[in-house]
Amino acid sequence: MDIDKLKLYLPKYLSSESESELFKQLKDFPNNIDQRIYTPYLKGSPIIYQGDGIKDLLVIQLPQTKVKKVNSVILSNTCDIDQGNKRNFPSKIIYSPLITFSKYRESLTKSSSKNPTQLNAHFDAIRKQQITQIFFLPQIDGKIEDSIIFLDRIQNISNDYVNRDTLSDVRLFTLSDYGIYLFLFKISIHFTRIQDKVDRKSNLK
Amino acid sequence: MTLDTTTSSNVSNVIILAIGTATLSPLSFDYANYSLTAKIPYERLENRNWELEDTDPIVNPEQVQILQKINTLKSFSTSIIDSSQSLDNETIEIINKNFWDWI
Repeated sequence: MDIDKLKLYLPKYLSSESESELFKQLKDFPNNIDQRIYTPYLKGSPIIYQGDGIKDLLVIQLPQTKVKKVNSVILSNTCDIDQGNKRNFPSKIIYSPLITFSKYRESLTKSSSKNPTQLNAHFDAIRKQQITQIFFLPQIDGKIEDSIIFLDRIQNISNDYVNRDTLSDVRLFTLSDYGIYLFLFKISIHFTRIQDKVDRKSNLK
Repeated sequence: MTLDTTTSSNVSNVIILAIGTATLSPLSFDYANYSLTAKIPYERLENRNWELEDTDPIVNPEQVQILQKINTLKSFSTSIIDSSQSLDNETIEIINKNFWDWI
């Protein structure tokens, strides 16, 4: 393969420093799942970015009809929900509620038949992003504790629900270049892996 | 160690003989193929096709960097995919039971 064509597979939007930092972090994975997955850089921006933590989004668990306001993580593509992009069919915001990791640990420790060693291995696997359904978010002082989201418990709401004028008041965090790369990779594995091993017999009428 | 003069089949003699003749005849034994191989000086090799010609393309430093980055992406991707695990049924049941209380 022509080496120059491989360039197509590298990020093209980063400054030289940001790109170096991204590759440094990718090399260090999984020993750097900490504050390095966040960035303060976009704090004041009026745009909701993919992977942002947003306070108090509505969550429902069908078929139950109760609704809660829960801090959540945005899964929508940044462009799709950017209100600057006028669309005939505006996209909804999709997101997954944040769950405090300590609550998850507590419930499993109480109810699981696994022994402490097995449970600790499971919790460690979550922290190292090894569980396909779960994305782990490390604590941010004063904002969130160690948390997780389930990629199979997704909600949606109108794009207008989050007021962009007061976004900085409700935004909990934004993922860094490394954080979003990790996040997108996990979403890709969860939703688009070609591993279902099903022959769909598409030649049959 | 001294050379034993009592018998020609003594092991010490064979070892010392082998060391002594190594500089005269550059032969070595290929243990993998059970064959004797000769060391031929580089300039006498008949086939040197792998040598770089003036017209051959040379990988420049930028291309090396590209390859290094692609390798980093590959290692990162492989490490996630290879270590991926799904939740077991018991854990899923516990999640289903507690999810609403957790949020």
